Amino acid sequence: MQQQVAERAGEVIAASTTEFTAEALELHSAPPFGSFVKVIEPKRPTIYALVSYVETGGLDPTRHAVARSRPPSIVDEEIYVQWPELRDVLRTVFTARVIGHIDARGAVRHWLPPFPASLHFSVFVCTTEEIQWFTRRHDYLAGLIRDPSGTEELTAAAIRTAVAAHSDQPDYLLQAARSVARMLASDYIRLHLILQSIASEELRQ
Amino acid sequence: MCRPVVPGDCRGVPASVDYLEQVSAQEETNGRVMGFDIRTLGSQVDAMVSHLVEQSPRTLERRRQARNAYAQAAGRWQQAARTVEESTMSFVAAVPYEDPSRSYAPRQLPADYLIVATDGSQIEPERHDLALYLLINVGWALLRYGSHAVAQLGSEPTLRFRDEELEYHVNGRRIPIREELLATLRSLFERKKLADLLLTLDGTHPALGLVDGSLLDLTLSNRRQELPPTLIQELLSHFDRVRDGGCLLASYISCPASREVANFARWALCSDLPKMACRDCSSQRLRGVPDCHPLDSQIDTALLPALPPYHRSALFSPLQRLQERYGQHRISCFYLNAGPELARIEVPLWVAQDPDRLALTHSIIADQCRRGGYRGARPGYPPALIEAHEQAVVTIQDRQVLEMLLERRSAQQGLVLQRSAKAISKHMKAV
Repeated sequence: MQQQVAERAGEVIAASTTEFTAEALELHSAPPFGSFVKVIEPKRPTIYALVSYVETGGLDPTRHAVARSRPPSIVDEEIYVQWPELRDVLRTVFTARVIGHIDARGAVRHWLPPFPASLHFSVFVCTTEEIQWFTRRHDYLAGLIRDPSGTEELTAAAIRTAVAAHSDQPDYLLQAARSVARMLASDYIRLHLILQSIASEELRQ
Repeated sequence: MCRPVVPGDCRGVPASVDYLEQVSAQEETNGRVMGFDIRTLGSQVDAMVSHLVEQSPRTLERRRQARNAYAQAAGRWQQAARTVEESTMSFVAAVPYEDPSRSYAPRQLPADYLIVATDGSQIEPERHDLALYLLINVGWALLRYGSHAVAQLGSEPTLRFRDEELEYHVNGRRIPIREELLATLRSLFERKKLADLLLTLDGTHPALGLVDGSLLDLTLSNRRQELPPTLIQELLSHFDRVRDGGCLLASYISCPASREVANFARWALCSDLPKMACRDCSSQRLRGVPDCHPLDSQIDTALLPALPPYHRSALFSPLQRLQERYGQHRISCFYLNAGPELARIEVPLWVAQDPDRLALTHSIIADQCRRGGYRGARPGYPPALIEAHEQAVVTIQDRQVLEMLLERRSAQQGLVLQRSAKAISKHMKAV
């Protein structure tokens, strides 16, 4: 199989220990919700994160987008042709929840890195191989589940992305579901929400 | 031209009785609210409104008379224009090049066109600041429409801090570059950037350079003695570059308050034709008021015939004395129905006298107004100017960043800069 090359997705514009926000390279082109991204820095751990929020709006927050369509001809993509400056005054930003890092010895660590991402560094979308490698164990889910600001939606999206990266999908899904069940043994409602979102049609039957 | 930031801008405050009552009640509970004494102001606003209501019928009657005068002058416009041009009237008038009683439709636009707009803002030198400097920030927007629609937006700040950069030396005098003189310098920067950008284009498609405000800088005339004599040549050299580069040039004035076209209509009421010598006005002498007084305080846009959307008025030539110094770049103007308002468009002579260039300029600006309409329903303000303005704006935060940078870099070099006691006090906002 040909090895994938990590695709540059954005640039970090705000960062803390637990998350970072990046501006997408192009308007409306953030990595999908629940996708795995990373920030590589020299002599620092490579930070892994999950895209948890995407937003598009004015570069200047005091300027609001207004409806511009003039049906039938000027709608949707044609609006950007008629007002080419829109691509320069609007922007898409995404926030990613930090879920782990690769330490100095090259080991996967499913806990927070010692440093936040540095501002203006590139954010890359993880390749399928990287996702496989990072999600061999399910411990990274514990941090998401414990996070009071975390949602079941994000946990479920992370599992779906990880499942898609593994070749033995039914087995992997079952293991992930069992791990989540152990982590949420005392919270049936949250567990139910997550399982409902990750269960494939086959498993439901 | 960007408006300065006004701290405490109160737009959006509902000036209703309910609001006043609400504020009064709040004041009774909490003591006086900081800022305006709204109750005192409220009674003055009432007096102002009563005055406006009382004046309204008189204003309307004067406007009706002024419109009649304009219609008469427009009906014999060639004769009127000749007389006004040769007159010694004290008012600055603008004479029409074409029938001023009709409107002119925009032409079909080419499939592709480009527009470049520049705008600027400045920080005035302020003795309370850390050091004496001025800053000019030129913002620009280059928009291409048609087959390869694309935009380029940007800004270029220039910091001037040496004595010779903060003062003009004219006839042995040192003139600080402030207020209007600084605005003229800023215009020079804007025009230069406009020409620079237009000359980067390959000339395949029509390109218009558009600026905000008048092309005719009256400071060059009003404060001529305080400006270097070469400044106007430098300004006009950029107009030369635009013309020689095969591009178009125009300026856009929103909500214009010009009275030159209205002054042209004085011809119809004047008691002293053909000389129109205001200094020796016979009606003023006989009746105590000049016959042309209905035209006092009338602005051009109140008198022009109705223009359909995107249509323009006739082209006029304003007769300011400053025009002579503009030479081949003498300014002409027309008014355009831009939807919410009639905008004034100024063009240099080489655009005005070439029917194709004039029609193209008109059509491009009309198209910009179409694109600038809110919710797509009405014409509006050109997007190129909006974006250039947004790029040019220097906010209070930008100014703070500049001050911080100056303070830090100076400290790194062992130089401690200090603000005035007044500036420190304002900064502290201590109570």
